[in-house]
Amino acid sequence: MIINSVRIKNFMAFYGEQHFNISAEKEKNVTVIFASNDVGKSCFFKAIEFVLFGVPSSQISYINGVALRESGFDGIYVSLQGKDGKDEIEITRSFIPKTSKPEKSADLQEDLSVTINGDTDALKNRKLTEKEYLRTLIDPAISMYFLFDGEKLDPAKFARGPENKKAIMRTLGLTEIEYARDDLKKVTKDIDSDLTELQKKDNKSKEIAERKAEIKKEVDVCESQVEMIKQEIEEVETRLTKLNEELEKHEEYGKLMEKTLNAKERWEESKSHCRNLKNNLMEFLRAYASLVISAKTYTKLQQQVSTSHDILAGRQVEKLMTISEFIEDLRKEALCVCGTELNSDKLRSLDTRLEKIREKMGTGTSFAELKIAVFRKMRNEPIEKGGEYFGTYLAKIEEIREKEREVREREDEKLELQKQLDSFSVTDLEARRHQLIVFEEKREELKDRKSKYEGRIEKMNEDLRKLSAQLSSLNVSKECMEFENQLRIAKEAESVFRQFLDKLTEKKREMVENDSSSVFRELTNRPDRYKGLKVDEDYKLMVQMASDDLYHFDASNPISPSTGQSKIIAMSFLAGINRVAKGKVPVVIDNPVGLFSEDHRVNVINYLPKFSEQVIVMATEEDLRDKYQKQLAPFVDFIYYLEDTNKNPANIDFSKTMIKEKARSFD
Amino acid sequence: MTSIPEINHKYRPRFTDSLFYGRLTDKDKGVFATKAQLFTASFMLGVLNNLREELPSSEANQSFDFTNFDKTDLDLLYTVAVLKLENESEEELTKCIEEYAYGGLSILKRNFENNDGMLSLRDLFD
Repeated sequence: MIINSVRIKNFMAFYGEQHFNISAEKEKNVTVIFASNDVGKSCFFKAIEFVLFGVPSSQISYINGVALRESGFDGIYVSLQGKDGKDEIEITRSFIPKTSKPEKSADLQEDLSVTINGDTDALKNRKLTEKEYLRTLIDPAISMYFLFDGEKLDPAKFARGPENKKAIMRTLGLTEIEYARDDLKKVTKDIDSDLTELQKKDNKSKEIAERKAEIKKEVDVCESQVEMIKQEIEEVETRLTKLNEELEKHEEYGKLMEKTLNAKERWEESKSHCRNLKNNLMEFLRAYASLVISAKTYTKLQQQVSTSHDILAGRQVEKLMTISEFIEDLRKEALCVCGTELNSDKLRSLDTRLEKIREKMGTGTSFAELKIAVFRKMRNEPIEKGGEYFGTYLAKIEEIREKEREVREREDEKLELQKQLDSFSVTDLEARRHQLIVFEEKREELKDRKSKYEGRIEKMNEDLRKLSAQLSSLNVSKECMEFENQLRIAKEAESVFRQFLDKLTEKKREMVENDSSSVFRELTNRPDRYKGLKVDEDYKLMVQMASDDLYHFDASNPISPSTGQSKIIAMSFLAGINRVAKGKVPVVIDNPVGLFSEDHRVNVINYLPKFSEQVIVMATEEDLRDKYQKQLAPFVDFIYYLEDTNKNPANIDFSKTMIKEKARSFD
Repeated sequence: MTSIPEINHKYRPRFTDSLFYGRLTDKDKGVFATKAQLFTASFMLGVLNNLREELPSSEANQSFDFTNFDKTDLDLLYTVAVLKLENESEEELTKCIEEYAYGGLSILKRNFENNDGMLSLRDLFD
């Protein structure tokens, strides 16, 4: 299928009718739709899904809120015009209001019309319903391989479990062959049962034929049992897939728990550090607080004293006091400073001088001057030390404040994570873990039962073959021979078909594996680390590391590729499936380069035109900026710029998104 | 002749509020290593804020021997006290020391109250 144009009216954010031409040229197969966040990129994506698959419920929520409230609202539609092989097709799905003011989904009438080559009754002639026809274009079960959001790609979701295998088989066109094989099996059975009925008529063979019929009956019972078990296994597998997905939340819980514990550890570490700093401050205070207070007080008093009128007198007294102290000290020595002996004459002379100084100090000095002189004689060293310690104290206080701020921040971080952690229901997850074990046990038990039944069937089929041989030797009627001949041919055909299907399935798996791998090697920024992708028989995706080790996408696997690398892996897998898919379908990608690193972006943009025959890309101008536009330009035919003309929508459904500009090139 | 009194060990400076003294010099939680250090700090703050207060006679006061102080503390105590002396007597020197120490105690108490039981030197001097 090729889309030539899309018309969207009043669908979600889109207001009024908006017409998009879609690039469909072989060399220019890319259409780009630019819009800021919350403007309508994803709504375009949803519009394509809407027209092809409809919506499950709550139709009213798909209607543009502004248009819905306007008088004369006449409904919404998405119309897709294009080609399916040689057929010109037009598909339109609409919601038409039953009342003048629809308020709920029940007030809307859904309408789906398909026109082929201008004929609105074409499907009636082909004996197909619209829904059946749309399924031939693109099956909803496989839509995820063609319509996807680049930011939400998860390799584990794309390649896990029987559900995905079925969808992939359908995408690759293998399901039809499976149907044909089953039909052949049914034909074989019918012929065999007709033959048995015929053989019963023959008296000689009657007994053997009856025995054969009984065994066949039993085989039928066993086969129906096997079918039931298979169905049960499928159900169990589906349930297991879902449980595994839910348990991934457990993984998230574990990660969050780890983050919370780390945050708590960091908080406690800061707290302990802070406590140490405080203890250290306490020790510091115990050692120096008194000195700091004394020194600071002394310094302040010193400043006051310096400005007082007694200072000059104080200095004079201080000088005299120094001289008198010097003489007193000298008297205690044996030699004078000049080196001569301090005899009694010299000592007397010193005493006389001392007396004179004391007299001078005593008579000419006031009490206030003396006080200042004593005060000024204080040693400098403790005062300086006290000043230095005050500086150290201030630095310590600042360090503690900084640490306290860190403690508060870390506590907030811890509390925020704790809150997130509390929102998880651990009991619920534990219950699921338990269920998972129960279901796994049940699956094993079912497989065991199936295998027993299959063994019995094989044994009975062997018996049947023997009985048939006996019958053949007894009964040689022409009619029986013809039936036996038909039965042999049918069995051979069935066997050939089965072998063909097995080979084709394996071939296609190999093709998907090779193509995914080659795309991955083209896209990844670490070809040195990753060798390629591997796909097992259940279409489970694995990454082959350079060391040849296989990496499984499993919630319990502690080592995983980065988010960007995982998305590249998923994208490569989708590209691989697209290359091998039976019918070519346009690929619609929302945010193809979101969350990727620079080198990954360059690789993805290079690959985009090769993704399918027709590629529709939705992005913000920031994501798909100039550099990438230049890279993509040769492949782009139509570019649309969307704008929400309602600048301040109170609610998202009050958007009035319209095409602001249409261009054929980025210039 | 005018003279400045020296420290006389005959006189002992007294202090009150032994509970507060005990708490602030507690071996584990105290901010001061010794009561003499706390007394010195208290005295300095009394001088700095000009708070010379007579000790209430009703309280059972304890006293210090000047030998309880280390040399630097005692030098500072003496030097600063000298500046605040009102007369030349040795008794006045001891009285001056204990009365400023008593006056400064209220500053220390307020500082502790305002800082959750911790001493803030910044609050005292900034």
